[in-house]
Formats: sequence, structure tokens, C-alpha cells
Amino acid sequence: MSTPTATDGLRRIVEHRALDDRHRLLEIEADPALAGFAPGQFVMVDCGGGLTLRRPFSIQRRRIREEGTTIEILYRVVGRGTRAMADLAAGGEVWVLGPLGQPFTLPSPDHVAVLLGGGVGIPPMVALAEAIRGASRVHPHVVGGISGVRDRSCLAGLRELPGPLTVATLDGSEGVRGTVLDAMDTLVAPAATHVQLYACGPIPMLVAVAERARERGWPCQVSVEALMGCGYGACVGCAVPRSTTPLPANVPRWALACKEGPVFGAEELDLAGMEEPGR
Amino acid sequence: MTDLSTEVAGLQLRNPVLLASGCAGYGEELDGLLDWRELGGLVTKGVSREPWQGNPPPRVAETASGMLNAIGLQNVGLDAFLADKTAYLGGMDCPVIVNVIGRSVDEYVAVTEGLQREGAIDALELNISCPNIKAGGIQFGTRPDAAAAVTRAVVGASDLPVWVKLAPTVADIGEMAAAVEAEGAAALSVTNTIPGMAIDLERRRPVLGNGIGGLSGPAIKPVALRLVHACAQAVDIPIVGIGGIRSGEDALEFLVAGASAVQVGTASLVEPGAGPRIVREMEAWLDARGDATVRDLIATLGPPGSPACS
Repeated sequence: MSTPTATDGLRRIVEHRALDDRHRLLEIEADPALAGFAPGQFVMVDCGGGLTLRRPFSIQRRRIREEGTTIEILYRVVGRGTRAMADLAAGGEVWVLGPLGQPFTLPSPDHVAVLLGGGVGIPPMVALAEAIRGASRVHPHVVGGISGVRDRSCLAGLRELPGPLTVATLDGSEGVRGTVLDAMDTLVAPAATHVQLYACGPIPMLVAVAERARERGWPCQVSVEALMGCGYGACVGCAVPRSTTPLPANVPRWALACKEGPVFGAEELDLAGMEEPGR
Repeated sequence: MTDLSTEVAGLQLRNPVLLASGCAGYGEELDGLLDWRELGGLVTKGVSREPWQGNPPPRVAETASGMLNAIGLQNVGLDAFLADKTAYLGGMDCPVIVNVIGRSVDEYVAVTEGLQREGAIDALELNISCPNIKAGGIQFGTRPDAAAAVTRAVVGASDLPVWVKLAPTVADIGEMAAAVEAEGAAALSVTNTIPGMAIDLERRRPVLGNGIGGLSGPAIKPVALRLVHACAQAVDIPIVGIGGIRSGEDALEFLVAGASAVQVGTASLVEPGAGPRIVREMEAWLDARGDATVRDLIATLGPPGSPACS
């Protein structure tokens, strides 16, 4: 799989605004490398605040503006990194390394794509939906799952897409009451074939999606999160467990989320053996 | 134009800045992110006799002015290193020092022997100080007799110069430095990460999957400076300073303390261009003072209260 070469540089912050009290949208100037990102790839952002490590963020979408191309990052303020990042001022500059990692593989032409995003796992599905529509002229099925009203901002990018959006809320405040899988069942028959699943979200959601995909024989790609040191494979810090089925000789037990991922085939990883990163 | 070139045990370096082991993989990970010709050298990720799987995640954690890591020396092992990694290293136009790890003297020697006929390698760095492997390196690095024994065995098996990387947590770093110098170490790399712990308060458990990890970054720079200075008093072999360097001035401080070159780790990890940037900053600092060569700074530290140099 060919991926564009990453660059590291100070990028201008074109826009940075609060979507609600926890979620923010950061829009930064993109050099040709960043602008050429593929859906599922991420960037390492120097959040400021005197922190040592940069933080990884998936790219929500590219935006063409009069003054140039930008990329968007939709994030939730959850820890030291994102709290510092929330203080970055529009008009200022920020160090951004990227694009990094393996992107989603677009579906075969004879497959129906179903995109399942949960919470702050929703943003990469925006770029993926745009890419699938661009390549196939067909809108994929897109499901955005949130717990309820307090996470509605996670859906902001999906709501801008021209195609249909199915929303799932655990509290029933909008759309289907239930999980992304409950919403998926309203879109695709269980006996359907030629279905390609894509998922990004909390670990329990990925576990459930992978299990459902396996039961139905549907291929499934998942994007996972990990604490990272470098983002480009040098530190070997972002280990995620490979599937517990016997590994071929010379395949290490741990995969690197930054370089081999963040997108994996669901069957490649021991998703149930993973844990949400601490804050 | 300042002359930035330096030398470590016969190895000529175009400038004193190398990338530290574990922070630049096997070089290829940084391809396209920096120009190797702007660096003094690369120290590879540690290579063991067989592949090592490393520690369970999380493996990294943010700490005040630094980071903890507990990678557990995951690496591809000697055979895969020779088969898959040396082609890139040989084409970098940059000196390559291979970091050697092991759980026994025999393992260290086996790796050392396996690396001898590889043309891309300019020197070996013996890691006797990694704090992450419970069964491994820490014993060699904390006792002068054990450090001397593994140094003797590796030097005896190597035609390449052997640098020995010393651990910070020893009672007397000078004694350790002298012990490995006496066994033929060509240079010292000072120092490694400092064992530490981070706690996840909500979950009431260590943040790292390994429980403890190695502290690196600006937090350890004062510790490393003191160790480099102490080693410089204790031995005649050259010293490569390591610990929290993120600017040209940081690097120059290590030279003044007694180092002939430095390694940049954490700073390069988070900013791939940090090594070349630090070289440029060193050059600018020296240019501004009209210094002709960076070597004139090495081991020039005066006593407290000494008059300022011109």
C-alpha cells in the first residue's frame, strides 16, 4: 500500500472553535503532504503546554478554501494533551507531523460499504465516506453512534455530507435508540453478502462490530487508538495485541498502531484484549 | 565557518550530534523526515540474538518535562537485522553504531560476532544499562565486575570499536567507567534512562504495562551532565553525552562537561528534525563567538566561581 510521505512543520491554525463544552474543531493549513492524506491516516500534534510528547489525531476531512487547502481535526478534551491543545489560538501556528499510518482500503466495486463511527471515532469516517463516494459515485451507508445529547458535536462532520446519515443514540435522543449495530440492522439485511464494514470507536464497540462481521462473513476494517511516542515506528511504543490465533514465525506478538495501523483488518487484532488509553 | 567535526575513538564524525538508540529505529523509519548527511551518526535500536517481543502496552507515558518508556527492547533479532535492516543503514552516508543487547554474556557475544562482517557498521554500543528487562541488562550495568566481564567478552569478539553505555543508577559512576575502560571499551555513552513509575490514579495502578519504565527527556539532563562530568574525571577514553538534549546549547553544555559527542533521543523522537536543528544551533552559537572549532569546547568546564572565558 502506498502512503504519501509525511512532513513535519509549523502549520497555521486557520480556525479553532468549541463545538460544545468538550468537543473542538481544529482546522490547520495543509502542505501538499497533509492535503494528500488518505482516509484513516492521522497526524501527531504538538499540543503545547510544555508537554514532551505529541498526541495523535485522526484527520476528519480536507477542506478547499480560497486561501488554500486545510485539514480538520475534531477532538474531545479528555486529558493533559487535549486541554493544552484547546488553548491553541486561531491565527497562530502548531507543529504537525503527518500524514501517518495505514489508511482504510476502499471497498471492492461489488461491495456495499457500511461505515460505523462511534463518538470521537466518528471523524475519520467523514473522509472515508467522501473518498468512497468520489471513487464509486455511490453513497456508502454511514452510521454515527453517540451516547446522547452531550456527544452530538461528534456528528458535525457527518452532517455536512450530502449522503444519508443514520444516527444511533444510546439514550434514544435522536435516530435509532441503541448501538451502531442496531442502526446497521436497519440498513443491511443480516443475510446480505458483499458487505464491507468499516469501524472506528470505543474498544467495546469495535469488539462487537468485529464479532458481528465474523458471524456474517463480512470483511471489516477497524481503526484503533493507542498511546504513542513518535507516530512513525521509531519508538515501538504503540503496541497493540495481534489476534491470538497462532502467528506465523517471525511475526511479533505486538503490532504497531502507528505504522502497521491505525487501520487493521478486524481479524488481525485481539480487540477484546485491548483497553481504552488512560488519560 | 565553524568546524563542527569531532572524533570518538577513531571514528570521524562530521558533527557531534548522533541519534540515540531506541529513538530512531533502524534508520529507515526516519526516511524522508531528515537528511542523514546533516547528522554525526545514528545509534540503532538494540539488537539481540533472537527477536524479543517487548512489554505489554501501554509502553509510553508523559511525565513532567519528560517521558517514561517501557518498550522492553522489542526488536527483530540478529538474523532479521542483518537480512532486512543493513541495506538502508549502508546507504545513509552517516556513521552507524549498532546497539547490542543481551540477557547473558553469551548472547552479547553472539550478536557481536554476527555484526563483525557487516560493512555498514562503524562501531558497537554495548547496552548494559537498559532498566526495562527484568532478567537482563540491569545486572551488568549496576555492578562493576559484571560490567567489566561483559565488556571484556564483547571487546574480545569485536574488531569494531565498542562503546559501553552506562546506567545512571550506580553508586559510583567513575568506578564503573574505569572498570569498562580497563577491559578495552573504546568510548562511553553516558547515560541511559532512569528507572521510574507513573501512576494512573483513577485505576490505581501503574500507567505502564510493565509497571516501571525509563525516564528520559529534559527532566534527566542535570543528572546526565553530572554523570558525564564525573566520567570525564575518571577515564581517558572519549565520552558520548546523552540525556535530555533538545537544543544546541544543551549539546554544547555536554561537550564542556567532557563529552566528545552527544546523542539526542526523546527530542528527536517527537521532532524528527531535532538532530539537524541542534547541529545548526550549535554552529550558530559558535559562529556568534568566533570559535573556530567545536573541539575546543570539549572538557573545558572550570570550577564554580571561575572567571568567565573570553
